[in-house]
Amino acid sequence: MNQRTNRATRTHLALLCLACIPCRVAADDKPAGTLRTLNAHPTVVRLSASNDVQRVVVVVTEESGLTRDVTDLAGFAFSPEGIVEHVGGGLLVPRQAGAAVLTIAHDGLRAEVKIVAANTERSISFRNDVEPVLMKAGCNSGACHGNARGQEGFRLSLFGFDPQMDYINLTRQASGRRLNVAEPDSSLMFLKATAQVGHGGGERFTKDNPLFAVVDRWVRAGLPNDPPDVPTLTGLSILPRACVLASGGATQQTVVRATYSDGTERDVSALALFSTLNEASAVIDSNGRVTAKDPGEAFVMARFGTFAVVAQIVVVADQPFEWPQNVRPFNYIDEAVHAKLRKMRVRPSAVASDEVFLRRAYLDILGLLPTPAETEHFLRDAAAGKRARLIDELLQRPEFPEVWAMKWGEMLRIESSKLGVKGVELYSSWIRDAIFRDVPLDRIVRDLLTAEGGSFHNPPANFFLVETSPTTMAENVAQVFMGVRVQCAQCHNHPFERWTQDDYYSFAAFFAQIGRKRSEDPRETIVYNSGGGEVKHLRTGQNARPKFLGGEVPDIPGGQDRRKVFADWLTARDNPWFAQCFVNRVWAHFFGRGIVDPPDDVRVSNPPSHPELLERLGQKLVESGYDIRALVRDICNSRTYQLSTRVNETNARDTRNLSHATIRRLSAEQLLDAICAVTQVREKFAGLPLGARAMQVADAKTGSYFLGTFGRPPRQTACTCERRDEPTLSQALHLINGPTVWEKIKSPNGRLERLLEAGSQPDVIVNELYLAALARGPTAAERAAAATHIAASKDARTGLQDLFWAVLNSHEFVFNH
Amino acid sequence: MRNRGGSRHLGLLATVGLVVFAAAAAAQEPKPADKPPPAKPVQAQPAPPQTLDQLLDALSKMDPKQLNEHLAKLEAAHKKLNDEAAALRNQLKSKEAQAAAVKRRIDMLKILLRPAGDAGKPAPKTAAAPVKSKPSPEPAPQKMAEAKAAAPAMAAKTPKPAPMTTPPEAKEPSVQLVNYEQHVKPILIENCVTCHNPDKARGGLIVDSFGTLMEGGSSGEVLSAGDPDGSRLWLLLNHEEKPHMPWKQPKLADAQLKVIRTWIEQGVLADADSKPQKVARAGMAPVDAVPSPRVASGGAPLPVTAPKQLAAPTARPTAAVALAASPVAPLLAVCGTRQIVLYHAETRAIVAVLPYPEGTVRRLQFTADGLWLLAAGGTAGKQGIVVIFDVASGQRVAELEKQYDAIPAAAIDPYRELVAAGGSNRVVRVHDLLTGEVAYEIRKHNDWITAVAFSPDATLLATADRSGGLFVWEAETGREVHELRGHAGAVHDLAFRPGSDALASAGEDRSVRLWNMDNGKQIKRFNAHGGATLAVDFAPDARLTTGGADGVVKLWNPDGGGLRTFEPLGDWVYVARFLERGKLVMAGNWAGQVHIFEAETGRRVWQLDTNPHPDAQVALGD
Repeated sequence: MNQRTNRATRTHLALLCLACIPCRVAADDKPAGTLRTLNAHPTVVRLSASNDVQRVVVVVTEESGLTRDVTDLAGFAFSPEGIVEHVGGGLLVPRQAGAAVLTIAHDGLRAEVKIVAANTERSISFRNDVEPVLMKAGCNSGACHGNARGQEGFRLSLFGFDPQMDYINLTRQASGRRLNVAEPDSSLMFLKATAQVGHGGGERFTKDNPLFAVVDRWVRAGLPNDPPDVPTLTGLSILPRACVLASGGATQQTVVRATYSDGTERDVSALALFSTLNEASAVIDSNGRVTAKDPGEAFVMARFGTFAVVAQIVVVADQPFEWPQNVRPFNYIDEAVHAKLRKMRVRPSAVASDEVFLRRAYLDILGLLPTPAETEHFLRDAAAGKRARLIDELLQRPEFPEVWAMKWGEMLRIESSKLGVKGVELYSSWIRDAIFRDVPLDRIVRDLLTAEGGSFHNPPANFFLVETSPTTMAENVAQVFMGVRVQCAQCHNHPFERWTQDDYYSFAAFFAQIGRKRSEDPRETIVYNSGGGEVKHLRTGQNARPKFLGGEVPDIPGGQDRRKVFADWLTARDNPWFAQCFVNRVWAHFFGRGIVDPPDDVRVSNPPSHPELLERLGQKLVESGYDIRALVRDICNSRTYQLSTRVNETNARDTRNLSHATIRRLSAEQLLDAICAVTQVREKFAGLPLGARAMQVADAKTGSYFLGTFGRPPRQTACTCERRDEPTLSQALHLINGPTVWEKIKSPNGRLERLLEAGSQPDVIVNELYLAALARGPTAAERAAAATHIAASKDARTGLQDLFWAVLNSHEFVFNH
Repeated sequence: MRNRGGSRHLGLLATVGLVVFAAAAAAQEPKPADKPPPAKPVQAQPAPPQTLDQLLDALSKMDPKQLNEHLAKLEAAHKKLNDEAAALRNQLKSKEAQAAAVKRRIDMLKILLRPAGDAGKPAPKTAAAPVKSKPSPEPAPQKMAEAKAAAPAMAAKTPKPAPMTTPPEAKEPSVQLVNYEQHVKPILIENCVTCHNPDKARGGLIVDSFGTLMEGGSSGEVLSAGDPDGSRLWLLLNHEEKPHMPWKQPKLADAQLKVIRTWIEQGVLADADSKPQKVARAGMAPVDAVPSPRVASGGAPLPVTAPKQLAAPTARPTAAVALAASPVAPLLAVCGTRQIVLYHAETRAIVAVLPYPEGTVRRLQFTADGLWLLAAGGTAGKQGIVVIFDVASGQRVAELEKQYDAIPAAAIDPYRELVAAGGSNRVVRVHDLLTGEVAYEIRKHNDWITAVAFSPDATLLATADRSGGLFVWEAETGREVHELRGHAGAVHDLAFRPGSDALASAGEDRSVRLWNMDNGKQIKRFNAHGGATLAVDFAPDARLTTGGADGVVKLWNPDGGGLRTFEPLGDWVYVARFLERGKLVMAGNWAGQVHIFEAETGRRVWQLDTNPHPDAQVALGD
């Protein structure tokens, strides 16, 4: 412990020395305009009560972009004095009411903080003081008393979503045995929390902990309940919002501020709950102090009440870093990606070879492998801009919309057990047709959300047959079209997000008035606006009033179709969720992970890797009139998409900054179609003509052992996690021993037999097999090895079959790289 | 293989032998009726090891072949008997089903053939303990007035002419009363009959005929004429008890619920011709005061030499969770922090202060003769103890049941022989005060023990827990007498009715339930409070008082009819007890206040708290 502190201090001092010299010079030469800055957080301090404390942190930003916490080194001067006192560590304590200006000086730099202090004491509040203690100490977590059944008969609401119940259970239940106002020290809660008596949850805090003092003050005040007009929490912020720390021990203190409905503010750092989202790069202690570890990006989260906020911590190696001269952005996507990489001090990989790019583009845009002829044609092309031309060509091919029709099938959960065979056929044709005809995305979603009439006559009406309960419907709509998972909030406030139970039921109310009735054809259902029906809030039992998720309460006259109101809001140009959610899904398809990942789990505690880029892409999509081809064109033409998978020493451990391409297994459908194409043996799916591709299978119920084994989603939920890409033993065995590969290699109609029949020489055949499967010819070493093996075999056919089998089982074939 | 078969046979034979022996031994013993009941729990039948030896000895001398044949015969006989028993059981079941069907048909016929004048007679008969034929304390005219008040709302719904067209001087019978056929049946048909029809009969209940509805379901009758809050049908429909009805559907419309409530209040009339009856409330009549077992002759016991030194007051009073009144003397005991304060009920002076350094007292009880005071409690999570004080001297007579948590439940029997106590250890331990030993332990509860009580005749012990478990035991032996099922959630307090024929239990589910001690059946339930009902007590004349989380104290007549709601105490009422043989009611709340009311007038006559100041005592004098 001691050692670590020493090391940290040493690093600190070393940094300080390094940083000072050029700065002084700079200050002398050009006093203004230097890149080096000093910032205080927050810049305005409002001490709303005499018993409040506010911490100010002082941060230097070096020319290199590195930031350092210099709070303990800086000088604090107040004008006038006597209003506020600095008690060390940046902590400001009010002494009397009034306004003052704090001037902070450090190393020739200055920063100012405006201060307003009040002298009225804040009385203790159960909701605003005690509940946060229960959360910070972990009392009301799901594993402890926050469990729905409580713990040993004592129950608290999960993360304090029901303060009134918590108040009763703490003070009145069990004959008031838990807190003793007559003898506060013998309160059971104290004995338990400080582990003076046996406690299943062990020691939660010691007697000298400020948390203890909060509860003690409340007990000594006689356990008052809050008056009805007690201020409620309206916002939370963490400062500094972003910093760049040197790896291996640099620290940064954070400050968490809460705002309340009465306009007051408070430093709640002592009561907030801290956690890191990437332990390898940065950790944060229970006081909000961040310590940098290995280079990388980490977000640290502070939770307080129903709010959660994050700060970005970039940890970099404190070594000289140079951006390679030859790396220049191809388009705006690269600009955003490179900006982040520079900040992270990571060099991107080189651009991939034509062979690798070709195979990747075919698989991602069309779901297919290039044929040997296409490969040879592309590789021979020596003209400039051939990659851009290829992308344009591929975007016009009919296989492109099929990829997205399949994605939509997954999002909309098209399968016959709920919709019937005919429903699936009509519904999937409708969506495929819409994409073929370039119907803009917002139109498609509007048509779905407001569909009325028979499910056969108007196929988008099937949207309302997959789920019928308003709450499940709302969950799916939020997840599919907004990328938000609100399921938790059905039973309790979302623990890491702002969604409350109120939000959940108010959102579900949009889907409360959907009528469904049988048509003349018993297989068909007619969907209509029933104009009646409500969703009841689970806790209050009241009818929930429709409210946009994260938006306002619209004024909806009785009987008006609530779905239309919602669809208008969702597809409006300024809707913050819709375009970004869709862009992110497309992004995830081309890079194997979303800018927010998983793409349908947008939340504060799962921040985007490139927020500005996501915003930009969303804007572009809206501006282009929701043109998916334009979006894909931009993505594929970026240098970032065309990167090699080969890493350098700076980006080997990077997984989220797009510094190199990632290796992805072909999806179940891609792999089966690829095997069919390479072997030239067609597959037969139930209900589809021979030779239909797996990508064209509309119904998830269509049986296929191969597709099931390789993780085709059953479309039972709207979650992107349904598609599984982790390797399994049965996948490996199926490729090695299973009928799909071997039967197709041996098939008399297959590529190998046809080539043999045509009398091709083995080396020609080897070349074609490599081109078909790997989009490249064999290397000299591979040619030699193949020739040796064929010569050693019983006959050329056996040798070539072995070789073909080996190629189809190679990682290079099974993966998109 | 052979070996295994052999040992099995031997085992069977040994069992048969033992049974035969046990039967013979029983025959030799004098009949139980000849002998007074044993003072101690009966030991298990003494095992007869020597006989087993003899049996084995005899067996070893027998020819194995003969033995095997004998065994085969025995097994065959055994199997045959089993088969016969199974067949008989099946027969019995089908006969029972037939009988039930026949009964249902007869009931329907009865209703169809009933002479007009008899129509409104309520069908239910309660299984109450002997009810004395005293007139109902509630005057009938008042009931009629209520019925009238409810009627106009109904009239608008019926096809009959609206009340406005009725001449004002119309005679009484013109008031349309709610009846089953016209008003209630349509509601039940609309909402309930899908499940509760003669074919499906979920829960054994059939609602489409008056007769079957009155008969009730498999858990008993669902209607109690004149008493909606004691009628299961109402409680389920009004979502006061689970399962909420209609099953998985929204609550009935308020107008429909009102019809059903009014119908029950007006005496569950069958049809328009039914005459309103004087409501015969299910329940209990008052009892004559039961004399205490051992009242000390020559004056009631009051503290004589007990200490009176009050501890320094604490910053705030502790919650008033425990109060007790002497059954024979004008004396009340009030819990405090590390002390118990005894007040004279008439002079209101502090007459004794009993130190309780172990912590806070959570349960107080005087013995029936008023000589001793039991105090249980302690410091939550740390220590618990039951102390018996001698009232006159203030000395500790006994310290029992030392535990590592405060003890919330304890009771002493009227003869001062047994003390039962339990708490977070989930065990009720019964101590024999004469021997100083543990008489027996009850380990049947699955959750913390919340309340224990001995019956006034000392024959029964009732114990309750935090999950609704409620049992009655033979006080002397600990043998289970009844398991009383019904409470959802914790049972907070128990009280036996004077006469020991019934037990009252108060619970988290708001209800007070009265249980028949002869057969263990629930006689009655009523929701006493707006929140959990935390306290219940009987007066010598069987009136009840209750206190609840709604901060209110109430007075009830012996059959659960509300008599009075006292002035609210403003916070959770944890304890409510009669004082001065039922003349006064005292109650304590979370804020440590104790309010004492006059039962007759409802007037608050005295207020004190759990944290008396020594100076205040001087002012009061003694």
